[in-house]
Amino acid sequence: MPTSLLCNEQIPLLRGEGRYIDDIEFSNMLHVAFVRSPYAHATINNVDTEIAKKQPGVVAVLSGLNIHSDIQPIRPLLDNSSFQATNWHPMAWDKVRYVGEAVAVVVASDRYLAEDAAEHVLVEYEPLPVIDSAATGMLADSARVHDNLINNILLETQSGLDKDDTAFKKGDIKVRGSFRHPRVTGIPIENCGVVADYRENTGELIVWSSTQIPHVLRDALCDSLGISAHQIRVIAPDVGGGFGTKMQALPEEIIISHLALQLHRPVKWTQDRMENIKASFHARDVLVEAELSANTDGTIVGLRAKAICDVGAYNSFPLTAGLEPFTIGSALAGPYDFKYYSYEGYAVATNKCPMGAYRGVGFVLGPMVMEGLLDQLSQKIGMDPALLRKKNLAQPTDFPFKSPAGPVYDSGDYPALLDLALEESDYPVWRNLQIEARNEGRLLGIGMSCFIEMTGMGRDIYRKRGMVNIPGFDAARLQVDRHGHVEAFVSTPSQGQGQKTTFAQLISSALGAPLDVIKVHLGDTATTPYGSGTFASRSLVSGGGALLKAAERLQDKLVKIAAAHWKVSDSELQYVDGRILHPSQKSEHLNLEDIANLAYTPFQELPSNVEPGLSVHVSYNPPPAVSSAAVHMALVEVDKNTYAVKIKDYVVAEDCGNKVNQAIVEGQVRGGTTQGIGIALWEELSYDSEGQLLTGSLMDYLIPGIYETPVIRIASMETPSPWSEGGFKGVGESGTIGAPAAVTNAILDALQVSAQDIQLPLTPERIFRLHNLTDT
Amino acid sequence: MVQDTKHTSNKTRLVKLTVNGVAYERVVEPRLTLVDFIRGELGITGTHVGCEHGVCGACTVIFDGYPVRSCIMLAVQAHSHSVQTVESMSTGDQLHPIQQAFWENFGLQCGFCTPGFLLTVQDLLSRNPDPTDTEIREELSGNICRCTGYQSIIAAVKQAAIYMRKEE
Repeated sequence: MPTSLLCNEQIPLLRGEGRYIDDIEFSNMLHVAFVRSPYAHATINNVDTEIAKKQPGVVAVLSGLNIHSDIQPIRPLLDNSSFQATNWHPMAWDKVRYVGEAVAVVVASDRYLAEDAAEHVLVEYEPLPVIDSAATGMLADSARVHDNLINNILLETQSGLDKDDTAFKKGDIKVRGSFRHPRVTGIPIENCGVVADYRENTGELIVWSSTQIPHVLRDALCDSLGISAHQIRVIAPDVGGGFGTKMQALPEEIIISHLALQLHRPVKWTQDRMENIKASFHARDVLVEAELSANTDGTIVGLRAKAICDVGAYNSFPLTAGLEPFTIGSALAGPYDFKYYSYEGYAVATNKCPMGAYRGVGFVLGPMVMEGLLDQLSQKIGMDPALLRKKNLAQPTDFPFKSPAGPVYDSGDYPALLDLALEESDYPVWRNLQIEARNEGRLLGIGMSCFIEMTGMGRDIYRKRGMVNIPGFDAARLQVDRHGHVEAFVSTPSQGQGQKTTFAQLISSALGAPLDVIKVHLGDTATTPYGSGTFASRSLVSGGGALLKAAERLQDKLVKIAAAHWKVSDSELQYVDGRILHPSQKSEHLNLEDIANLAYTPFQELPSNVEPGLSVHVSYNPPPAVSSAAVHMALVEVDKNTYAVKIKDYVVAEDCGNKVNQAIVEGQVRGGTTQGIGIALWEELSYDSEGQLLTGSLMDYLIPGIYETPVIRIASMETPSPWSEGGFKGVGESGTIGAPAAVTNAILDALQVSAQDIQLPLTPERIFRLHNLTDT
Repeated sequence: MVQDTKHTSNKTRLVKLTVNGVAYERVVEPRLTLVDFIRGELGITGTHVGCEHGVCGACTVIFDGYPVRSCIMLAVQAHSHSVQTVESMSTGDQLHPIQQAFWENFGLQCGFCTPGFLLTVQDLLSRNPDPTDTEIREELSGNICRCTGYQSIIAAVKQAAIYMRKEE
C-alpha cells in the first residue's frame, strides 16, 4: 500500500481556489447580522425591531419573539433516567442564558448594512442572578438556569460506587489531586458559516454549512423546521478545520435555513471570530478530584474519582451534556490494569456558552489525572516514573483487556510502546541533562504520559450512553462506470484530514485500480449515503471500514460477472491485483474495465442473483471502539525569572493500528499535540462572576504559534485491531489527549514539586505559585 | 449611534488599484476593509478572513511588495497601490515553487490559513533565500495554523528555498 501519498485535494487550496462557505456567492444573496445578548442571564421584556427595519438595505428583522412558535427548539435526548432535557430556542425569546445568545437577526442586502441595523434593535432585558460556575450551580439553593428543571444537574453518572472498597482502603499509600481542565474551544481558522437557498422549482432547501456532520445536521434541521429530510440537502464544501467545534447543530444553521424558506432568497451568514469564541461551542471546563491507592512496591490498587463538568446553558445536539461525564468515566483508567475503580460524574448547567466536543473530549482527563497521580506516587515511593508505569500497564497477553473503568480494549502492546518512547527520547540522556541543569540551578523537567484513546465508536457505545441522536454507523457507496472508473461516496466528510486521498488509497489497493481512475465524494447528503459524520477519530475506522466492505462486496460481484461470462463456477475465480484469471486458459483474463463493460452491456447475460451495473452500498457499524495508544514525553525548561516554559524536546510514540498514509497520520499527531500543548500552557476561556467572557479575541485566547511550537518527534508501531475492518484504529485526537499531561508533569518535575491542585493552563503566574509551594 | 441614512450612500470614494497586475476601479464606502473589497467587490476569494482583528494572518496580501493584513486595512488606503493575492502565485497549471513545496511536505491540512502563509513565505524568501529554522519561525510568527503543528510548514519553507535557489 503506498504511504505518504500526496493529497491531490489540496491543489485547489494551494492555488486560492478552495470553495469555503464564505466563497459561495449568489447575485441575490442576503446577508445577516445577529443581535446577541450582553447578559449571561436575563428576562427579555421586549424586542423592538421597528427602527432597525427602516435602516438602509434591510429586508427583514426577526426576533426570537416573532419566530419561537414557528421553529422547534434544539432538544437532543439522552436515554438516561438522570438526564434533564433543555429547550434551546435558536433565538431566545423569553430568557437569555449566556452572553452571546442570539436574540434577533437582521437580514440586509449587505453584511455591513446588516450590522449597522443590528445596532438599532432595541432589547429590554431584566438581569437575573448568574450561575457562574458548576460549583455554584450544584448548590442546593442555587438559582436555576432553566426554571422547569428540578436543579442544574443535567446528568449524573456513576460506576463502581457500590463495590466493596476494602482493598482500596487497605492500599499502603494514597495520593490525591484535583485537576482542572480549562474551558477551551477549537478555533478552526475558518469560522463557522451557513448559506441556505430555497429552490422553489424543486421545493428543495439547500444548506451549505461548514459542518462535520452533514447527515446528522439534516436530522436536526428536520426536527427544528418541521420539514422532511428529502426536502433538505446539506452540503459541507471545503471546510477550514473543525476539531469538534463543528460537530454540533448551531442555532444559526436553523435560523439561516428558516430565513431562506421564508424569504425565498439565498441567505448567508459567516460567523466572525468574536462570535466564534463566545457563541460557538466551548469544551471541557472540568474539575476532577481523584484518589489513587497503591502499595509500596508501586502496584496500583485502585482509583476513585469525581468529575464536575460545567456544560453551559443548554444541551447541544447531538451529544448532549453527557459527553464529558461519560467519556471521562471511561477514560480515567487509561492503559493501566488494577482492581478497584469508582467514578461519579456530573454535568452542571451554568450561564455560559453551551458545551460541545473538542478534540480529545474527556479522554484528555485520562492522562491528566492518572499520570499526575502516578508522578506523585513515584516521588513518594522513590521509583522512577517510567518503571512505575511499566509495572502497572496492561500486558499484550491481556487482550481483549477489560479496563477497570469498564470498556474493553481490542489490542495493543503498551510496554513496548513505552519502551519505544524511552528509546526515541533517549530517556537516560534526558535524566543526565536534568542532573546537569539542576547543578547549574536551572529548572529542567521530564514529563511522560501513557494513554489510550477509544476511537471510531460504533452503535453499541452510543446506545450504552443513551445518545439517541447519534446513529453510530457510517456508509459508503462504490460505483464503477462501464470504463472501469471508480467513484466512492462516503459519509465521513473532511475538514482537512485528507480523507479523499486516504480513501482513494484504500480503493486503489482493494480493487487494484490506479489512483487516477478513482474519485472520492464527501460531504453532500444528496450524493453520499447516510452516516454519522467525522468526529471521535472515526473517519478511517468507520467510513474507511464501510468502504473496505463495499470493495469486498464489489469484488464478489466482479467474480460473479466474470463467471457468467466464461460460464465457469464462481468458486474457481478470484479477483487479485485488479484482474481475474481464467481458471483454465491462463493467458485469458478480465480486468476491472472488462468486467465493468460486461456489467453494463445488455449483451452479457447475468444470473438472476446478480444485479446489472456495478454499484454497491454498504452501511457499516464499527466495533464498540478500537483503542489507539500512545506515550508522550516532554523535556521542558522553566525560566527561573519569568516562569516562561520552553519545550526543549518532545517525543510521541504512537500505535494506531494499520495505517494507510503515514504523513497524514503524522500530521494528525503533530497538529493534535500542538493543540494539547496549547491547553497545557495558554488556552483558557475565562468568565467573570457576571458571566461575561473575558477572553473574547485571539489577543486574549492564545493558541500556539509557530514560534512556541516545538519540533515533535514521532516513533510509530502498528498493532492492528482484530475487530475493525483493515485493522485500523483512529488517531485524530491522540495528540491532544496526551500533551497536557506530559507538559504538566514535565513542569512539575522541573520545579520538583508534588502539587495536588493542578489548574491548566500553566501560565507563568500559576507556575510561579507552584514554585513557591516548594520554597515554603 | 444613529445612522444618517442619507450619508451612508454619499460618503463614498473612488478606489483605483491593481490586483495581481489587473487594474480595477470601484466606488466604495471608506469603511470597507481591503479584504472585503478584494473578496466581495472583486470576487477574488483566495484571500481568507480568519479573525478580522489582525492576529491570525489568513488575510495576508502583498501590498506594494510588503505583506500586510488586509482585514485591518481599508480599501481606500489601497487607492493607487498594487496588491498581490495568492492567485498571483501559480502560472497556469504550474504551481509556484512555494506552493509545490507546501504540497509535497504536507504543509497544509484544511488549507484555510495557507494563502497567508504562502505570501508571507514569498516575502521571506525574496529577502532571505536560505533562512534557518529560527528565522523561519520568527518570520512566520504572525500566521496561525491550527492543523499542522507547523513542523511540516517549516520543512516546506526549506524545500521551497531550495527550489527557488535552483531556479535562479
